[in-house]
Amino acid sequence: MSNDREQLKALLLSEEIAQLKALQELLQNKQKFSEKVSEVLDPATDLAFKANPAFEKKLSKIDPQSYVEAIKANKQTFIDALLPIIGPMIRKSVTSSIRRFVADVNRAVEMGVSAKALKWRWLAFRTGVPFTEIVFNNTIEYQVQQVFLIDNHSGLLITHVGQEELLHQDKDAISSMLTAIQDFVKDSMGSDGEGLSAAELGDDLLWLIHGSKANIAAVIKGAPTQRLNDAITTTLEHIHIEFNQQLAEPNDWNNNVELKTELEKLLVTKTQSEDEEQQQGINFWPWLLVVCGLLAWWGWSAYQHKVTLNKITNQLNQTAGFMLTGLEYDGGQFIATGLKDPSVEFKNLADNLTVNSTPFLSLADDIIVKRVKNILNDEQLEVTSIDNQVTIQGRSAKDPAWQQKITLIQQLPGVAQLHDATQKIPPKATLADYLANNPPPDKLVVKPINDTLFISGLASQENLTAFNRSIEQFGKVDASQVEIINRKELTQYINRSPLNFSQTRQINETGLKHLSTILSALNKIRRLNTNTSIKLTAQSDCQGSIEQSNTNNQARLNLVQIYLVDNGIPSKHIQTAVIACTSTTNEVDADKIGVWFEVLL
Amino acid sequence: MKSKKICMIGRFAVGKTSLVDRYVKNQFSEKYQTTVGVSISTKIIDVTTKFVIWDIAGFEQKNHYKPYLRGAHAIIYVVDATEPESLQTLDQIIQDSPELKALPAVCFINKADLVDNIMWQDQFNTKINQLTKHSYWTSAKTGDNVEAGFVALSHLIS
Ligand SMILES: Nc1nc2c(ncn2[C@@H]2O[C@H](COP(=O)(O)OP(=O)(O)O)[C@@H](O)[C@H]2O)c(=O)[nH]1
Ligand SMILES: [Mg+2]
Repeated sequence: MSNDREQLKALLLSEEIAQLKALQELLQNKQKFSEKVSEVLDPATDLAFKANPAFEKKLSKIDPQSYVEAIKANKQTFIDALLPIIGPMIRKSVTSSIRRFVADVNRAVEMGVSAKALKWRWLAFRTGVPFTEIVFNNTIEYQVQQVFLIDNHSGLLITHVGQEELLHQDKDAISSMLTAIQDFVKDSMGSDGEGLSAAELGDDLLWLIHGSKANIAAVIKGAPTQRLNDAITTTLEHIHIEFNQQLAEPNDWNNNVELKTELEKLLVTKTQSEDEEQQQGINFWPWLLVVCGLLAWWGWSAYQHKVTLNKITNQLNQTAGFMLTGLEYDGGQFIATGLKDPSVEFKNLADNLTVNSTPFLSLADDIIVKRVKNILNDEQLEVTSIDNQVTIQGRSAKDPAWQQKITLIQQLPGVAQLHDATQKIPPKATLADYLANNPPPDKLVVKPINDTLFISGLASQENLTAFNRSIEQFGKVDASQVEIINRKELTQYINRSPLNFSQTRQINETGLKHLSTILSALNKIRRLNTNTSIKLTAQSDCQGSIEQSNTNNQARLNLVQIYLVDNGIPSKHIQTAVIACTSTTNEVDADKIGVWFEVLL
Repeated sequence: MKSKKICMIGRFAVGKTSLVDRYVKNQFSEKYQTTVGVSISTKIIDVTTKFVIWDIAGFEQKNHYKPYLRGAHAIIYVVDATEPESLQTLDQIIQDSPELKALPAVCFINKADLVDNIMWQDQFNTKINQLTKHSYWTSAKTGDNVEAGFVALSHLIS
């Protein structure tokens, strides 16, 4: 029965049963099931995220506590994983803070102007070593106490220098330990470089300098500089070259004097010694003096330059009609630029000053005055301009062009108002006018030729001199052609030279001679003035009878008168007089007998 | 005087540090203090020789100890007489650094004083013989054979 049922089941459901078995097997076989699920896992999550966004959040949310737990459980793994990241970060941060510190120190030190700082500054300038480093070198103290030269293969000590008694441990143990530490660091930090290069030992510092065969470990007290590190590195390189053989031969280790000597050079003590100056042979003070001198010179020349600049600026600013817009100094030459009125003329400009100007019309009062004066062209006139109010003062002939000039001036730019306060002066008299009113004396004639007044004719000396003076205002006087007639002398001569004669019928020869001299003198005077008259006075000694005497006087008077008339003297220019005798004398006096002359002007 | 680099090799707690302390300082401490990395001691053997003894820790971690073995002049293998499994560690080390076989070496079978706990079998001696012909039953605690073992090594070197 049951068999039948089984058979039936198999007949009816054999296929389905096989499928079910296969499914069962799939579910039971972890490997196969995982493979199957993994096929749909990716699209399934996508679908799930899409249908329910909260699910995605839930999935990506990680409990921070789980990190803590994970770190707790696998500290080393995390350290190993983070070290490559943290290491460089720490280094970077340390480096940058050191740089900041150095910069701060630098700034602080640079502020200082102590003699020491100046000295270091000079040293830095002279040697090219950065200033900061010099400051460090001089302010920092250190002492290299121990130097170990260590075989970097075995860690065994090759040579040690320094005071062994200061070591707390055996020097061989130390060198091995140092090597081991390096290996430890390299191994645990995963560093593939040279490993540990420095360590702090309390207050001391340990430096490890790496070489291809041997390392140097130096124990240093204080604060060394990079320069020391460089020095040690150099020594190590030198040792590798010079002591190559000895480094390779362990039998030579620890008893090589030369190697020891070489290393001993590194045992330096750096203090802030004051006598360093003398050691290095740098005497600082003369240099300071030189620097001071240079500074003083620079200051003085800068001051001089400024003074000159001010002087030039003032001079140019005070020059009316010039507007200073710029002043430069270039290669010993001052170059001023500005606007310049064409009428400006610079006076007394400094030799090293050049003015580059652009023309412009200035309305400065001084410039206006200049322009007005140019138009007036009369030095007698005084021109002033105050706030463009122009006043002309003085005396002027005001010739016909005057009004034209005034009009022109009124149109000048900058002339707001014009006050003509000039006084008119009469025009100068001309020579002709003058001569019309003042005819030349005597027989003088004036002839102006060009600028010279030629005088000719006759004149007495006095008249010529006076006339000469009076016409000098009209020009140069040339009187060389004037014939001088000495009227005064001639008159005196005539007046003092009576003709003494006693005859009554005729004048004797001597008398005629005398009379002709008188006549020629009279004629000369009459040439000057034809109206000149002569008075004849007859007298006698009154000897004999009064009547006879008077008759004789008349007779002698007539004789002279006739002579003069006969010789051209008009009778109207001859006056006669007889001095009559009122008494008689007994004595004959020839000098009292005759005719006396008197020139009447 | 020549310095010789001697390396102590063996699993942790076999008594390497204790043996060095006994030899160098003639001291012993029951307290177990794990050695971190390496501890170095020196001992002057005679006028010509000075031992620089590297007590190395961490042989359980492959490769980590290797740099410390560089340039060694001689080896002291240490096994714990009460824990023969410590021999396996030596096997492993030799496999990793076969060059060690060329070096002069002694083997200290330590903690010999723990007589009751000794689990030593003859087959272990055969194994040790592959490393060195010179093995010593030592006790860091009592100092038995320790000096002798070191001195024997110094003779092997020179
Ligand atoms: N009884 C006894 N104990 C020892 C001996 N040597 C070491 N020990 C102990 O074994 C433990 C491990 O020793 P240690 O020297 O630190 O082993 P290391 O890990 O190989 O350096 C310490 O507790 C020691 O006191 C020994 O010879 N006899
Ligand atoms: Mg130990």
